Amino acid sequence: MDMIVIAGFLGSGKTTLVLSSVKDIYERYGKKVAVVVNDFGTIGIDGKVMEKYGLQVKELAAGCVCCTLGPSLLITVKEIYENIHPDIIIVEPTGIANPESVVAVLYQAEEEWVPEKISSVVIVDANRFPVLMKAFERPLKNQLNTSDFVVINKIDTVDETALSEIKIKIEELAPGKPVVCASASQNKNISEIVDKLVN
Amino acid sequence: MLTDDFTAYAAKVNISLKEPVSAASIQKKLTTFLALIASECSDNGAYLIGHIKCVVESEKGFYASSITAPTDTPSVRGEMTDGSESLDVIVNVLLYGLDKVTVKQITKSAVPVALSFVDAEIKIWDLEDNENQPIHFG
Repeated sequence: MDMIVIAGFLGSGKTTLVLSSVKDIYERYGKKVAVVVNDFGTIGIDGKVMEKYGLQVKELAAGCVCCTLGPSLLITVKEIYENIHPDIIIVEPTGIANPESVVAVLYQAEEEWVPEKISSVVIVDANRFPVLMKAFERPLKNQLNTSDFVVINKIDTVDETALSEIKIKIEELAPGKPVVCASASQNKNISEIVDKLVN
Repeated sequence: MLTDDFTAYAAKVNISLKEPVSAASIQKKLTTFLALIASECSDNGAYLIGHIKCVVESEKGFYASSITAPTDTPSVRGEMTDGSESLDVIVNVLLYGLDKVTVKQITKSAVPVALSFVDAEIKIWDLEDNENQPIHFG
């Protein structure tokens, strides 16, 4: 069983990317996927939306899996592994989570169900990138550096100049980190992202 | 990014309608609701909206909507057909720079303004309080 962590700041498009990716993974790779959603609030809206689209979802609400809910994440993943037997589990942490911490929690899994591979991606909102950088450059830099690659999402909302500036800034913050430009809501470059996550 | 000025708030709204309403009117009111909360929060001092999300469910389907800036138009996904007679709405506000009391007040005030239907009965539950008594409108 493999695991994928799809991280990114609040409102970056994680849920949309999860919905698109699950469909693509199933259609092109024929793999069975389960999703763990961690919402910060007491009510999990993202999980509810995913269930409406027919996904098997486990919700972890009212906390963050990279810190207070770490043990709950392990228990949840074990239950999914034992009861659903998916090929892949996608974890969508809260928008404030550090992907490195989530991956570290997952690697604490017991030997019999330890994931064969854990991939992580950080989603960046192209539309709000300058505003977010102004408010949270250091934690966002940390997010970028602790993922396997970066997705610049919502590219349909910015022009070429703005997109180029975002790429330059990401290269400055996380030198050499692979970047994919996409629009999850318009299904643009989803297959490229999935190929990086699954292979 | 869990700073001292980060605020999370959630509420549930039930709307009992006297007459069935169209899906288009529900979608319009939903986006107006989120846009109103976003602009009010921004005007009152929120410097960054993490997200304001909402799910509305009825016997005719569902809509999920989200907004991340007061200048944006809320995105909407989901499907609903005409004829809903009761709506369950969950709204979740995550933002920076505004205290929870004000966020709560803005959200609850936006409900009767943006989600009103003729002769509808509206109840609001604060989902983050231990005392889970609804507030009635209509």
